Amino acid sequence: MIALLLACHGDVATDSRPAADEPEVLESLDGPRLLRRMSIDLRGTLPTVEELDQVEADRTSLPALRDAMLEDPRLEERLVRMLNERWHMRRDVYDATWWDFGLDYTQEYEFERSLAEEPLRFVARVITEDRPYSEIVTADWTMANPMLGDIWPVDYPPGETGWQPVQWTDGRPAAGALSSNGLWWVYPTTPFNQNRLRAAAVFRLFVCEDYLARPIEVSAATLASEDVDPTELIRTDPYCTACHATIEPVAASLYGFFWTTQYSAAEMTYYHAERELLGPEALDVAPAWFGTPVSGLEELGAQIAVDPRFGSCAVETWTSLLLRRDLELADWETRQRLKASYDDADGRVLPLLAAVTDTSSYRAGAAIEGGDRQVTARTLTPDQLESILNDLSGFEWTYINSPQLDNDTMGHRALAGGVDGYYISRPIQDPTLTWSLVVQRASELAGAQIQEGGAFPSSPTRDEVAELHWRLYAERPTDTWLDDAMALWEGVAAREGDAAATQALVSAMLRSPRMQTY
Amino acid sequence: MLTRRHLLALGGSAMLLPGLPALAEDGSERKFLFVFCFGGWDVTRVFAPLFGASAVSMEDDATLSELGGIPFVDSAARPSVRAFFDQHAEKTCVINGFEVTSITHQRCLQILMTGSGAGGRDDWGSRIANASAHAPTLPYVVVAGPAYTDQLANDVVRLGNDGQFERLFSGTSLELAERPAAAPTAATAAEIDAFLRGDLEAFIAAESGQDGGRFGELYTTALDRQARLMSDVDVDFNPELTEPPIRAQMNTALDALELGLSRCAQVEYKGTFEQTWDTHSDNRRQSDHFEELFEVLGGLMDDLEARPSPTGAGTLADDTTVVVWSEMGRTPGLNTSAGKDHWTFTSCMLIGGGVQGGRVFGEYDDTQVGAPMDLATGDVSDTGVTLTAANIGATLMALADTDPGPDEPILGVLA
Repeated sequence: MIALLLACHGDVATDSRPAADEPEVLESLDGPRLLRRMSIDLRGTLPTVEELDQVEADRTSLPALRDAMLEDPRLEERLVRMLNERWHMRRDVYDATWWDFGLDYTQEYEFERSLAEEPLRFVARVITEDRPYSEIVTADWTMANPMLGDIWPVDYPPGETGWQPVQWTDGRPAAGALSSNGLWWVYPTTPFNQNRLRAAAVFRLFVCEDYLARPIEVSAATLASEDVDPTELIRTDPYCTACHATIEPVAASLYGFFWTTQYSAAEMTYYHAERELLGPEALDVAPAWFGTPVSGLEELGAQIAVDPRFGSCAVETWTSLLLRRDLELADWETRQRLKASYDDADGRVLPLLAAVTDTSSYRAGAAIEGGDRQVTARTLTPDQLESILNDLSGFEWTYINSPQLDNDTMGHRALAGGVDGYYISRPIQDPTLTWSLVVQRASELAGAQIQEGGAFPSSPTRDEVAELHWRLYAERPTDTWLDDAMALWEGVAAREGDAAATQALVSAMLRSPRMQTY
Repeated sequence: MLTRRHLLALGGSAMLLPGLPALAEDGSERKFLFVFCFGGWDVTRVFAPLFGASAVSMEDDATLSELGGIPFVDSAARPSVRAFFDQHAEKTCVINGFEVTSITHQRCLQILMTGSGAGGRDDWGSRIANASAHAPTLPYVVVAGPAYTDQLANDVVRLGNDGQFERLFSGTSLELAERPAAAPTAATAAEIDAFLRGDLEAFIAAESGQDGGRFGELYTTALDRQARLMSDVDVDFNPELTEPPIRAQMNTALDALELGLSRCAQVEYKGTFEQTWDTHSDNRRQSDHFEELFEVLGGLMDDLEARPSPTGAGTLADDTTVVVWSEMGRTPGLNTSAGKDHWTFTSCMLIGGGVQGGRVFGEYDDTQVGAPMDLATGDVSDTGVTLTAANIGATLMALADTDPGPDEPILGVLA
């Protein structure tokens, strides 16, 4: 993948960044702030005051706290949200809708997120149960919640709640996420496309090969003859076969999910084993994974699992998600060490996550020399902000059952810098006007809910405000800051009362750059 | 409609910032309105009169016409196209046959708007807006449609699919919650603003030269823009729905340009009844889409002529360039469903000052492949280069009097 990066970005050698052999000098975050970063990434919460005190007194206690986070049940939700930044699953529009399944409009959000999260939850569960990551393309189970249990052919256990491991009951092959409904709803096909877009998705998601980034220049193909048939060109013209020689065989293996009627909920719900044979017939090519014949999805998954690029892609994906940036040539040595730790752990991701948090890149709080490619201050994503606020206070910002920081239909996800999965594929790191407005309103709502819920004293003392500063930012406040904070509280209290003053102070603190970065 | 009452509810911190430039800034630099047509339009319905090309499926009842120096595909089903060129050809140029090097919607979008499918590039609108000498409050307002940002996210203001920006700005978003809250009073909001700015100053000082410092500076810019917007602004950020929706979008976009709030604005046209232009079946819908689009564009030109320029001299039409484009074209021939599939060559239309009006630049050969062009003159030339989206973007940058970087503009397009 690094080699492909070189091919695609030939200016790497000539830009101002240091070459791989030039040292970077990075300054690590102090213990409490590093703990805060890990807690946000791995649990979606701020550390407790007790945890902060512990690390402030003894930085060597950090690894044990980090390891506990990796066993925390909240890790799974974090993994779902992070992986979505690469898989782009959590969208607001699909080819089938809630009314197709006899649901109510108030269930729209739950429906859209449930179907999209099925494969994400499955991958997250493989990780949190410390299973070999290869199971994401070979397992015979997936995850479902009660809604999916009602509308999809899965054996959701009666009497249970929440997300549970389930098996498909329509006889589909055991191929992990490749057998997922959710994945193919997000990456659909058409009669004209014949699963090619899905094949491209398989390459990008599982082996980090982005075929769609490769240029298609029709001018370079043989189009002089008016009798040219594009479907022949992709088999005969060398310019086209460079991609299609590998696309077509993978596309041919995906026909169990080929829907003969567009926008049909029934078509999209069930696996169609009888159509598996259509692939070779329609595409005139036998199913294969880069030259190795496969007889169907199970063998496709098995081949992906043993492809060397699968492990490299796993390392690259999860490392870049935690570092909040793409890996570059200068990361080569780090990447090799992380790959080695992944391999040593028999291809499991939990040890990899721990290893990433031990890297200087992850821990960097400042770049002294040559570190300008590092992301030393990360911006909270809308889902991280929502999770943190909810943990602090039970915060909710919903409208018609839809969290307003997690949808774009009427909500503010994209405006707050989040990924919509369609036009926006990466979270935005820079504050914008709309981001600022969303943060302001979320903070005002949270400030009110914190005050009303009693999570913070209505008439706080200076020490209590200092402790809130410590809790929110993992930094001890300066006297100047405390003076200003108390002046804010006292000024509002004198005019509008203690409750308004507490709401004002808390909302202002939530809007702080120290809160919004980590 | 955003009223002064709403603005005052946000607080009066604008009064704490006396040094800001006047809101109605000198807007003497060229402004841009992007009209994005999602789905991939069929250029042979208007821009590419490839009659006689056996590989190309033209309409049986269409003919070649020319008005104001622009040849186009004319049809009784599309009177608005004829009417548009009849009135506005002299300020319109068509660029035919540029390549987008992909056939997937999302990748073509990215290539069209940034010049590359590799990611990590800001789109033309944000780059032009960022280069403004007048520090507009909403540099690039995206009323609808996509925007791609990398380093310039701070200059892009998305209004949301459903009036979200209006609700956030006015504070009604606090009421549209299952646990609503009241916005702070004006006095409290002002005190919070002052406290936050002090916090930001300290943060920037502590994080100077690092990512945090940059974050703090951009956060401060965002707050400054918010404060400036709180002046007596009469922009409808969430107008009532119109049919088609693009008319309401255009009103908002033109308000922002007229007031000098924005240098660039984008709206989106998804075809009649928002079917999109992606006509893999029944390509006849393209005709309906073009008819409605050009009717809307005719109204847009009237509106631009009627609105004063923020410079105080002339009208908005004098210093605004309208860019009308789609992320891809459609195949020359029909498929088995009487539709057309994705094609990597497409066309765009530039309307307004700064362009050589009454001309078509570039052409398609009989297989609907773009012909090479001499970028210096804009003439088709065997020794020229294949036009790409990067050339189109560079042309826009040049129109904006901004360095196009390594991408080469079509100099012949510039007036």
